[in-house]
Amino acid sequence: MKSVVFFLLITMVLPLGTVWAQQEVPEAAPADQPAEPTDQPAAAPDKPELTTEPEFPIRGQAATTRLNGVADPTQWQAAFTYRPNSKTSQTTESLAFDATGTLHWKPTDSGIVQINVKGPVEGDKASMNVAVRFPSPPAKGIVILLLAGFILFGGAGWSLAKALKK
Amino acid sequence: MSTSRGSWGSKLGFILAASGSAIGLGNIVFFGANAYRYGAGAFYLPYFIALILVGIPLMITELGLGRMTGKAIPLALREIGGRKGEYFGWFAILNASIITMYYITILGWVVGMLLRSLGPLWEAIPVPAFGLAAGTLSTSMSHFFDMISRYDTLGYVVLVWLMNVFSVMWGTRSIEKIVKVFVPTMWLFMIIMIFRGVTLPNGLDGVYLLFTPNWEVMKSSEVWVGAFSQIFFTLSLGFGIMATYASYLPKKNDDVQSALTVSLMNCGFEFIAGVAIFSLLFAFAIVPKASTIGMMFFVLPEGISQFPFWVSAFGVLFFTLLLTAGLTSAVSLVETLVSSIIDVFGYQRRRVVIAVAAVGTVGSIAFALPQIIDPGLDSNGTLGLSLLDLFDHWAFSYGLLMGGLIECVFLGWFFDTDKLLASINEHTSFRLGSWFKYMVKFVMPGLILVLLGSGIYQELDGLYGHNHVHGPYNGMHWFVLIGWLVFAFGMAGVFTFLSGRKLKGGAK
Repeated sequence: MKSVVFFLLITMVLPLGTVWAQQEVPEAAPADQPAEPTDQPAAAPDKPELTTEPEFPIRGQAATTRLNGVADPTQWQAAFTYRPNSKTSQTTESLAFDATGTLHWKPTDSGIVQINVKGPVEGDKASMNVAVRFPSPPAKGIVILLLAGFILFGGAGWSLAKALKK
Repeated sequence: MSTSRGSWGSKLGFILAASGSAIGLGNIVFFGANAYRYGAGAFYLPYFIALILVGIPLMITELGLGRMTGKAIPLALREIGGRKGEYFGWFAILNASIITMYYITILGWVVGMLLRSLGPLWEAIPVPAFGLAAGTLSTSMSHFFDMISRYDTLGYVVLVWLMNVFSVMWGTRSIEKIVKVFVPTMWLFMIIMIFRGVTLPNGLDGVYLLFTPNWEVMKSSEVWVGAFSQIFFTLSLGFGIMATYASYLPKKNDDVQSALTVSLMNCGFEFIAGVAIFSLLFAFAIVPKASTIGMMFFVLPEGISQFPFWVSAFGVLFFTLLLTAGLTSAVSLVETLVSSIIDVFGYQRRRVVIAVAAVGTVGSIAFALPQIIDPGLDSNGTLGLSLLDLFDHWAFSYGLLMGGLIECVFLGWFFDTDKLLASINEHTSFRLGSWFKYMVKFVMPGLILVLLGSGIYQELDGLYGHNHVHGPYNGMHWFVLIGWLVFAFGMAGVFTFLSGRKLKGGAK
């Protein structure tokens, strides 16, 4: 019985534990790095490849998406879908790449963004997902995280301890 | 505490069993999928409000019903609303039994994927049944479709049914033993997953995403409907399970405290599952689909396959977690049906368990049938998965809501709500005010009706499944709808009739 109460107490502090755990992690990129853009001429037919820098863009800060492997990047356009596959997804107007296959954009929302590019020929397309980070830890989010954790685990622990005491 | 029906050995046993029932596959994967679908941060606050407005009050109601009557749901409702009550009680049970059948099929697939995660799951394979070369589908997807298109998978389904038989054969005694091992195990495994998730690079941003409110998106009514539905389904309400489990409790049980403990533990588990899943989705920029099957078998394994180390170990851990969480829920589903039959007809437990398992195994095998009916994988691929998808739509999305509505209507309108409140308040240290009567009578049924109405409204665009690919089985969506109606509503009539005859014979 004591071990259950102890176990619940441990889980109560989990929200704090997650914050602590993250602080220990260096800001390293994942092991699977996307291929670096190359200056080699594109081979026909077009095999579009997308990369984004930084790999995890930050909301409100400039990001660059590069299109490689196509003959004329200016013929290609990109649209950004925020929260793809959700009931609340939004897609921006299409933007064109410049002659070097570069497109600068500024993420307007945090979360997962799907970049869809389309070429001049029907069926010419590619896409990639990027996760847009928060510029700084959001205070409201942390408050809700801690409050929800406290109510759920604190409430469950207290209620369980009381029930077992009876 | 002890009756001829059996009883819980301890309060802890009941709490673990009830929370084990509530915490299932849905908490681990469906919550993450739904939260993403309805805008993540825009979803969590409405979800929390739904827990307080509907979840906990309905849990108190269901526990109160079971504890007051000491009977499983058909007889409990008969005490309140006569034959009509019993009929709707059987409807809730039979609807839940359809869910039990396909739930066990899914657990059979979890067993299959667990075995594959020990070795080849992390390498792409060809799927000969669909004529697909290796690399056409993602690694986990190729294994999943390869597995469900094979007959040997049916063996896993039988295996899971045997596990269930073993768990419920001795009633509360065996259930209690199982949950005392499984429930702490799944919490432990989930905690390991959460630490893995948030220690991934930028994993914590995924956590912020889940909890940071997005006021603009929150204005959408769809988000609120999604949040209320999630609470309803996650707490195992409308199945009759909680009433059945509470029927094994002593008459002096504190329903409010039990409801608080079970609901908060369930949503606490969902909280950590959400943290683990969102950190994974964010770290690997994975876009989930709002389907439990997709999240369970494709999306999350895809994330795990990108872990820098211990991929196989985390894969095994993940599928074991799913299996333990799923089994404790499946056991409660089977027990609800078994206990209802024993209560009404007075048969021996052993015989009822074997009969239920025999019929249930046939049903579960139907949901695992490997015939290919959609070779292009535009919809569900196999006959079994298509049947599962269609039955799930009716039994889960409508049947459970109807079950909850029935409970509220009978308790609120056919039973003296003052008596209900007095009975709950008699043994609780958290006394409920008269507001609770209005919740049971108006607020909860009203909200459930809104959810049902919103679902039916979406059906007007075309019956669910009408645009799915069903190969030679044209009109399968109509067949399934009619099958569900006949099984749940029609068989409920048969059971009520048989129960009436038994009652007339004087051997209740």
